[in-house]
Amino acid sequence: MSGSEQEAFVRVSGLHHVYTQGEQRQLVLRDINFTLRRGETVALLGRSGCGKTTLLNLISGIERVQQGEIEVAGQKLTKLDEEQRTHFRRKHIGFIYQFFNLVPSLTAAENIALILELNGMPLQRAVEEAQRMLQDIGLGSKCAHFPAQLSGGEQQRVAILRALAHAPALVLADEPTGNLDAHSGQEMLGVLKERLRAQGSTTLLVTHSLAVARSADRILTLDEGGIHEQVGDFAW
Amino acid sequence: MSRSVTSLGDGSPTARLLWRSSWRHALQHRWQSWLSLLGVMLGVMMVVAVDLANSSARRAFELSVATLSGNLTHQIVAIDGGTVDDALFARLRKELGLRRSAPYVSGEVLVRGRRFTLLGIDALSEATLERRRPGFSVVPRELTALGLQALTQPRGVLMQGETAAAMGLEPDSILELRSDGGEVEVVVAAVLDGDDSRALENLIVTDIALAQEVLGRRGLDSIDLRLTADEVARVEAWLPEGVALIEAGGDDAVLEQLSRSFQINLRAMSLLALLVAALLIYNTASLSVLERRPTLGVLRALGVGRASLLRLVLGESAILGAGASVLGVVAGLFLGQVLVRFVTRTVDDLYFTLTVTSFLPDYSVLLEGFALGTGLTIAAAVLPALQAASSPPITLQRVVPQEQRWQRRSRHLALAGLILLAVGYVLLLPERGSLVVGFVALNCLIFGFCLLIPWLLGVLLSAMLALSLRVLPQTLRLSLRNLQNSIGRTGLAVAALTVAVSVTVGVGVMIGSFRHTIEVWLEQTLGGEVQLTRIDEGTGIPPELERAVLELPELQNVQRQYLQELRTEFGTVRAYAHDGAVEDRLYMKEASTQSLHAFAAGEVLLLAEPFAWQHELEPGDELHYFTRAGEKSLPVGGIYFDYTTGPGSIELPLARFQEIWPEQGPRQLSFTLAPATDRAAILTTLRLLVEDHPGTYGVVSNAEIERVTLAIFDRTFAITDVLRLLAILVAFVGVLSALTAMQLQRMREYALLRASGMTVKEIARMILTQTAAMGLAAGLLALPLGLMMAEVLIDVINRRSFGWSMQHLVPGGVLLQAVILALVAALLAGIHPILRIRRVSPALALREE
Repeated sequence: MSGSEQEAFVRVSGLHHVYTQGEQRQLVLRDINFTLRRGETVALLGRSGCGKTTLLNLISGIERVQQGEIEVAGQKLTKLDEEQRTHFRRKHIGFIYQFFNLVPSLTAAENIALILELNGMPLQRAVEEAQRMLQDIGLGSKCAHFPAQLSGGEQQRVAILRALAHAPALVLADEPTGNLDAHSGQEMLGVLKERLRAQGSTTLLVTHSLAVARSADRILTLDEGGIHEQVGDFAW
Repeated sequence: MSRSVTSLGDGSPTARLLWRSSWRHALQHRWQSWLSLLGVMLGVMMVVAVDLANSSARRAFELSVATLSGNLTHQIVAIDGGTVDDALFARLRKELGLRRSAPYVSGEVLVRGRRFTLLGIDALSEATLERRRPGFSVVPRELTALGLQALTQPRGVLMQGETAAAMGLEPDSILELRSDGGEVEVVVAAVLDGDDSRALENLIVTDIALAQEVLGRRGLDSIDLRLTADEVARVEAWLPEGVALIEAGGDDAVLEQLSRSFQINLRAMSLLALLVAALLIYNTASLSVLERRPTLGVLRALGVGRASLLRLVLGESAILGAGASVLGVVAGLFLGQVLVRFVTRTVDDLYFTLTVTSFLPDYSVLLEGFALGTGLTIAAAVLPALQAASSPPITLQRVVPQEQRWQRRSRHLALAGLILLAVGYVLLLPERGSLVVGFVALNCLIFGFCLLIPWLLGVLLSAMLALSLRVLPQTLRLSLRNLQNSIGRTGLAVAALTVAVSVTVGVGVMIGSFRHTIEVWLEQTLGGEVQLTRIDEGTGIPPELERAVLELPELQNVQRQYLQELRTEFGTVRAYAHDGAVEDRLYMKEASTQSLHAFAAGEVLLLAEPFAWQHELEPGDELHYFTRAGEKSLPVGGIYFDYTTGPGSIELPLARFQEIWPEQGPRQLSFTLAPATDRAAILTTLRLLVEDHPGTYGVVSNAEIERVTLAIFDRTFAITDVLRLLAILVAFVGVLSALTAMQLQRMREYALLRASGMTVKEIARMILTQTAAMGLAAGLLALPLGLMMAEVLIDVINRRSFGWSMQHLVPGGVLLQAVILALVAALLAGIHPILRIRRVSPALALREE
């Protein structure tokens, strides 16, 4: 087990997860135990297909826990039904994806405003707030642009603002620089770190990039279904 | 909860931005949105138009009946279907003191080529009868005053003010009335302006004596009464022989039932069009959900609840449905005015001379059309909405399983389809049953077959691929394989086209079979080549005329037909009798040689099929009828085909007929022509000959009768041609929409192929191969469905509606036309994607994705 028990914000214990396809069963996660402290940024490294995305899906409540326990901000996810998990995710979690996943029929500002509106902010105010956020990161002129009219780097910065707009307690980022060139990746990380520091959100960052991982407070590795704290150099 | 968030009641808000996103999606896919809108609009338009036309015709029918008979309770009529003696009315008033009684005469007259109903009244009696007729504002005072005015003026008649003005007539204008009684000049005494003047538009009112003269009638049609229960008993006890007291409106109910059956058939066709539209909505909504699956996945991951997505998709459909329904209702209002002419003309041709032909819309139909269109659109979107609600968050989405799931689902749908087909079949098993059950069964069969289509399409495509193994180039095989892999998206578009095309097959085969049956029936029942018929209500062709005609050497093989109205236990029927062998003049359906011998011996009678069907009579049953000599009965010996409409017909042995009406001469003489006879010349000779004899006669060739009959038949079904065309238009719009959506989804793939070196021409060929395969599949699948539909329409729907059984004829042309129609519709639908791919550069298309 890693991290201090007293400050644990996310607690994962005894987590197992199996995918079944026809008669084939594939154990993806085996007895996963770890904690994340409030406000820290933890990088999660692992080979393709080792279960990193599955772990993020379980922590965000997208997938139902089969065995074990996940507790976020004192709330046990296993106690929540699907609808409650959806509401929990809307309020407390921000998700950043490798492929941005912006809503194509909403403008940049509206994509950000959507999560604010879902959390109860009046639409007009939500759009104004989103415009202000975009201006802060130098994208003020792109407020009314649709995702297809933005570059990859710009789309990812909009996606970060959407993930952080409602000041979630937990941010889950799934290879956020994986689809960007080195320069855009660095730019994106800069924006992310700055916002995270300002908001004090806890972050779990899945990445293949060693450079990105080294910018985190801690590094966890997921291998053959189990999780380990990385203290030395990397094996791959 | 914030003002900008709509509560769903389950804690899930639907943000306004979600609606905005939906709206923009619809605008981005405006081609598809417009086509969906058009599909529903056309469906609603058809339902509303047919309903409006039907309700208008029904109201015209009711108003016509009410205008002629008013609020009567009873009528005294002649038992043998003839007229009631004028003197009986005077006796009734004098002996029973019944003041609420009036004599009644009506008939058809022609004024300057326009048909009118001439109503003969006794104004003073009408005043005491207190008959309420629609259209007379002050009853009976005004009518009495006007009636008196008409009476005081020699040969005076009353007309509706608007009609008179339209014909350039005013008080004191001279009018020439043509009828069975000949041509009579009358004077417009005054014009009537009622509360509901439409009730009077084709009516001419006059004194009863003048009406009798104009119509060439002796006696009264009936004595109309308003009686209490006590008075009924008194009248029954008093009635002399030869007349009967009947409840008013009994025969009208039979007529109404018949014309309503015709209208039910039309309504069924319009509902089928709406079913096609619903299938298209389902297809469009499914495609829209499929297209937006990644976006819905993002929304789910962001925390948008399932209920919100469900409401979002249902809301989109509700808006589309409501918008399209409003447009459909407005368009239906216009189309209804056109269709009402078809319907009233058919009712007029086949059932009843309407005194009212204006458009009398029932505005509740508009509301019903709106509710039906919107409701059906929402219902059709329920499954896609559930699909949307069950969209997994983006991180869980995979590309392949969706189609795999569809292929699995197509097997489940096929199973459900088979069950529905079985239910439909079982519902059709009983020989008798309600018309509604018949339509439910028909819908089970159609819907069941629809559900089979995705699976059948898969099988057909596999067969096409297997057969084209070495023949087709790789690119074309690839397009067929793509089609096979997207059964989920294409199956329902094909189903919609199949249903629409099958309507053309089903109705085409039904009409073809019906027409063929009528031709055979006419050939069988029209004896000889030329007919001479007495068409007024006299006592038949006088013997001296018959003798004069028989002396003409050009005429041979005379056959005589006798006709009178006869009251039976089931109401008034037309009683026919013929000389010679009955099997030469009737097209027998059910009769043994033994029963034909019994008929020749005067021991049994024969029934027309609709009459036997309606009253559930079979050979061996007894039919009771009323003559001046009292109640009689004869066993039913057999049943013959009959496609005339009206109260029903029976065939009496000639000896029995002459027992009842000993003075009645033949109503019709038919002859064959001697070799080398000039048909036109002999018709002219006959026409000149009859002018010297009392009565009104018709002299026609059988070829002319056949031509006129078939012309009326074609007019009757002209409306179905309009509806068929509209149903195809709805389906075409849907296929265009589905194919366009499918092809547009493939833009990235096409762009990739272009980037790999494929020319626009080669891609166009691929697209056309796909659409042609879909069209061909729909055309082929429409054949069994259409034939099944025809079978049900012929053997169940028409039988239950009219009691007619028909011969089955499958015109090859109708089948070929159906396949070509489906193919052309599908090929046309491929044009838009081809034009689109020509404009899109490979790099741009790849980037857009």
